[in-house]
Amino acid sequence: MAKEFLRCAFWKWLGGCGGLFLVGFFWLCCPYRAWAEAPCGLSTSVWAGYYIPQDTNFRRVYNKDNIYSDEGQLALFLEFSKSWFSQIELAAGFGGTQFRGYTLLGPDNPSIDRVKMSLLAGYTQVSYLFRYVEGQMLVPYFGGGFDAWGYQEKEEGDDPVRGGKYGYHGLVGVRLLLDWLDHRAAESSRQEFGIENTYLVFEAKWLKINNFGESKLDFSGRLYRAGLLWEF
Amino acid sequence: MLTISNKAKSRLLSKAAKTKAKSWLLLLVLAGARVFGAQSMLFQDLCFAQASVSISVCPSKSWGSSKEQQILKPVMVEGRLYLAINIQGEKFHLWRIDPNASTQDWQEINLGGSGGINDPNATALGSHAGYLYLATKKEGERPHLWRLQDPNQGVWKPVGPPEIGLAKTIISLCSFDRCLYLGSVSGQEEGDLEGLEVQLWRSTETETYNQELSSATWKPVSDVVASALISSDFQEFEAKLYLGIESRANNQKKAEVLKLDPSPASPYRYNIFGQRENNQSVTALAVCDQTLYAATRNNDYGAQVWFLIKGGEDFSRLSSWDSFINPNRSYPRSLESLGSYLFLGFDTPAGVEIFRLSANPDHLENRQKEWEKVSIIYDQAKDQPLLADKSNRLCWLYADQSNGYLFLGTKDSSGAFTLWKSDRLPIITITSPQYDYQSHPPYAYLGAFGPKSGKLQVSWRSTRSGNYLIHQLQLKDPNNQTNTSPGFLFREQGAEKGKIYTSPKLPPGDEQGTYVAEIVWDPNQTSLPKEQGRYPVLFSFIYDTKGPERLPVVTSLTPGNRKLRVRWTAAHDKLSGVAHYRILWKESPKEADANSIPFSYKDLPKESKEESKYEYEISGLINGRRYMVAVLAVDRAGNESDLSPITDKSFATPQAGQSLTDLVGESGGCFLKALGAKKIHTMISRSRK
Repeated sequence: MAKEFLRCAFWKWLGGCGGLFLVGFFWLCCPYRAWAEAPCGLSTSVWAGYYIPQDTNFRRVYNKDNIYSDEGQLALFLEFSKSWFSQIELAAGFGGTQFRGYTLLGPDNPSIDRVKMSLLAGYTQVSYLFRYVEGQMLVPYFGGGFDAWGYQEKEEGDDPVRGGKYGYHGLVGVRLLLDWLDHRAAESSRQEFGIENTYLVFEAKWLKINNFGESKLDFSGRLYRAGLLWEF
Repeated sequence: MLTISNKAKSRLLSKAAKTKAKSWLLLLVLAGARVFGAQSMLFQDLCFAQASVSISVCPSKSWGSSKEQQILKPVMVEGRLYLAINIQGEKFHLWRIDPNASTQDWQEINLGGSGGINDPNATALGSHAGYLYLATKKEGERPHLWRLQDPNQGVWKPVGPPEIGLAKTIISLCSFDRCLYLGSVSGQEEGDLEGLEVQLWRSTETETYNQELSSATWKPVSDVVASALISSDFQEFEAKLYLGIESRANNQKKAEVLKLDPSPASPYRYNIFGQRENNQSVTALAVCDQTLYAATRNNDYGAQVWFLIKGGEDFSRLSSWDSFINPNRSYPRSLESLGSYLFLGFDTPAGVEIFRLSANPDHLENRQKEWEKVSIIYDQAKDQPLLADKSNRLCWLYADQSNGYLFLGTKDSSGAFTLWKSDRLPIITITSPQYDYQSHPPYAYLGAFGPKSGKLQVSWRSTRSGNYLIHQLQLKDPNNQTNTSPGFLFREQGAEKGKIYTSPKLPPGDEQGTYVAEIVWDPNQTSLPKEQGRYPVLFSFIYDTKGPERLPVVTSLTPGNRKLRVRWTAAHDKLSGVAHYRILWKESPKEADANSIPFSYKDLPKESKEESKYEYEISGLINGRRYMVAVLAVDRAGNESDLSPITDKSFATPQAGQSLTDLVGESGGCFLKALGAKKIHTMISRSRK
């Protein structure tokens, strides 16, 4: 009975939007060009993202003068990676961001003294890419890794406080191959610079950076970022 | 032929004197007549109104031998007129006179002897930052620039030779926007400037500001073309520098005026000056009553005068231009303004001719008036040479704006120079009573007014010696109606030049408001007709003895580390407007003590930025102590408002806040150590040791 219900539901879904979804999915996964030369697996990417800390104290102090909102801050990253078998990828990168706020006289009672938190983030991570053919246009992936963050908090007229925290993160993302936008440009960059593929990448990270629960200063939060990735 | 020409001439001249439209017809006929070679019979003087000015040879001065002399246009520095004369075969001379002194003795400035100025010729004089600058030249050498450090001892400081490319001669100097500008020519030694390459240079701002020009501080002003003739003086108008030139393209001469912004110097070119009429160059510029005038040279149809009003887009031709339809008056040598009059000088076969035009901005229609020909009052008893002698040639006119004299330089047939000086002319300009209070506080100008005395008084600075009287005082009520006080109110006898005088309390009493006062200067000079001897000045001021009626209110007082930030609302003063705010604070542990402790205070700058206008941080306080803060407003007349109301928001205690690391109890430390990489940290520490 249940099997029958599931089968009916599947065919109904397939006949409706599900069919369109599958057609689109397989079209995106189909190879864009024939296998010519295997990439060496090295890639470089630049990222711009939005880091949202989750610590309440952090958000109390640094909830003013942010560029984009009261919650998060713009962060920039540079990343290098190496892939094996087109599916396993090891990456390392670094980046930074800066928050501005006011010291607190009490809960939700800011003073007029400005304070600045600078963060320098380093990380390494392993990802699994759902990439099975060369030139696959849509490549979802997931992974996880370790983080080491340095910080400096500087209050107006006072000496800065510096230190570091470490932790881990998990991530999911998707890569969109851009070569189909301009075949000639793709071919030209392949010949001139050795860039095999260019991807537009979207990624979400969940960070846990509090010395594995031993630190009161907690940089845990979320990071949403987008970047351009060049595969050589 | 002669009979026909005379008829045509008399008929056309009578029409031209009546209407402007008919004068166009005259122009056409005159142009046609010129083609047929009949101009010598047709071009005759039109009828001008006569204006009498007493001009005589400048006294007590013999200018040396009567060899060929070249006289530079004089310069006024610190109230004294400087005059440089080049004499053929000799070293030039520099003279100085105080035009206002009772004994008008010329004093020759020492040129310094050896180690001083050794160049034989002076080429330009200029005034900048209170100093006289002098450009000199020796044949075969680069030009030199000098500053007169001490006029009494004749101490000169070399400011050059400036690095101005291939230029051989500096022909003009001008101070503008903290920079010294100079015009230079190359390709020819002296004399007529036609055919030369002309460039304009500017000293760098910083060094000029420090009054320390050096030889390496000159920069060419971009885009001032070569092959252009600097044929007139520089003029400052609406914070821009204007320069009349003759530009050349395809062997065509064209009149242009360059407009230079202080920075960057990218000249704008006005070239509307009558393309069809073939105006060849702008030979003179003058500013008179917020209008810039330009005189153009035209060998075919005579000189023309153009004007650019304040804020105007382009020059327009004076409707009275047709007065000069005469090839004898083709080259306007000089254009000067003195008070509300514009003076224009020509060389003609009949000698020197000077015209004047009333250019009062309050009566724009005056521009439609014809020029008046200045007739020279000649004192036969003094047996002086006649300015209008046919052999005289006009070198320049110079208007002494601060003293009211018109100077003329002429050369006779032998090349000898003569300096002429008018009697004192009216130079008080009638200013518009619609004063711009916001950008020009009236108490900073003529007609200064002190309201704090609680009396309606008028103060003014006397710009002339003589008698002054306050003729009338009008109160403008909100409906723009005026209540006029009696005609004569107060007389100050024998006022000295430059002093500030204040009237006693005047009617109509203590009523506050905007007043318009008329002060009349009566020089008591019998040589001038009575109606010309009184010169009224209208100015308005605000009589305001009360502070702003709407008080500022403190909206927040936020503590910080040894400081407090106060924010408040805007105050309002109906009459003169709020000028600035004063922040007051004192330590006040209890409200009851508030009156017994004096305030510290700080006046905010009057030109505060908009975002910081209603906000101020009081620093240098002691953490943990309670302070009371208040704000008051000060109006433009200097009246203070009451203190802002004292509420709970007026009290606060400075204290240090907690940063994130303070809040969570994190003290920081070495980054690597914090990451647990103790071994790496130890290795780095050891390697450092």
